[in-house]
Amino acid sequence: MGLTQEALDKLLAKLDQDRDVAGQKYELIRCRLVKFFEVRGCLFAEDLADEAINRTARRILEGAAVPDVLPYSIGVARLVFKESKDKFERRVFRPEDWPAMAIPTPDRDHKFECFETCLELLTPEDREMIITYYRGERGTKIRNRKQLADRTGLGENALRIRTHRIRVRLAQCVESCLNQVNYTH
Amino acid sequence: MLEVPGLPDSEGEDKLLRRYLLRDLSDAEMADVEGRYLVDDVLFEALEIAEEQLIDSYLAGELSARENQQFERLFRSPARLARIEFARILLGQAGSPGLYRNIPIRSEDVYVIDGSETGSLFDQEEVIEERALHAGAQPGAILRRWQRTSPFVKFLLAIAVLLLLLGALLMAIRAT
Repeated sequence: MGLTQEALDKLLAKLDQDRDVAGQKYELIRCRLVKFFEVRGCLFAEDLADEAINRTARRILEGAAVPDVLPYSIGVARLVFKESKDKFERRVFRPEDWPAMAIPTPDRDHKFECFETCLELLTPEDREMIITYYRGERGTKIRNRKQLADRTGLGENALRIRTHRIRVRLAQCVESCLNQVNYTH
Repeated sequence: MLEVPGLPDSEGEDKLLRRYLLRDLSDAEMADVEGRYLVDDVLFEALEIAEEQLIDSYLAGELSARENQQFERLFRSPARLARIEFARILLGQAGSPGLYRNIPIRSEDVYVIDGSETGSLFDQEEVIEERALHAGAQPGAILRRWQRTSPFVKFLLAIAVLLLLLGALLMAIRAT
């Protein structure tokens, strides 16, 4: 069952009085629920996350006591997961279910071109950091990371977080680039 | 050294997250991890980082046979496959070209688009690349393949070329 406008409004009001902030909190909850389902190996984690949010919103509309939406929605997600094996996992993949990065195409060079384009869009510092962080294998990689930490004055954890954030931005850029390429071809 | 307050940095916590991502925990332990990591922004980022590291280890062939099997069973949603593919390009382009060729083939990962089976994602890409190379129509693809070839293989090829040249030179000298 989908989500009515009334239930959505109630949910957003519960999350924050400011509609924009509420929207951001909604996305954050959705992201956490997607992870919940992904960890369980669900193919359609995003759809299941939406189902969990919809049910949470309906409970709120019905007047259920929901002191904190995120932990409550995780509880709902557990129920959705139990039902999911029969209801949701027998679907057939459609092309629109796939992020552009995951779609195998004969023109694989587009992925590399987009990657290189997006790498160029990073600041020189970020570009050097991510390339150095992932350069080499096993022992070489460990040595590179140690040198990078020493050079930047960052601890191991801080370095991990910095490179993770660069990696996330790079991945988003590549996905967006691939979508444009697919759209124009 | 700058450190980030609140972020778990113990080896034990890293292992716990790895086991969580591979569903190698009891239901109670899973719920405990979720009770902490899904509701806290800082810890959630640590979970995402742990997932990236797991993907990188998979691509590097560093997982045990059991972990590998579990990974392939769990990392099959389109979004996760996209993350694996991105990691493969990132690691390959960052100068770990050997990784690009050493990916374990995912025999189970048969997926369906519009009702027709198309084979494993990785299988199909390998086949496409092989066909492009054999067709000889994509110099860009050949150059990229060369760039991704491991330095050791490049070294062996260079030695082979040198030996061939040396042989040709000796034959030329004998002929004169």
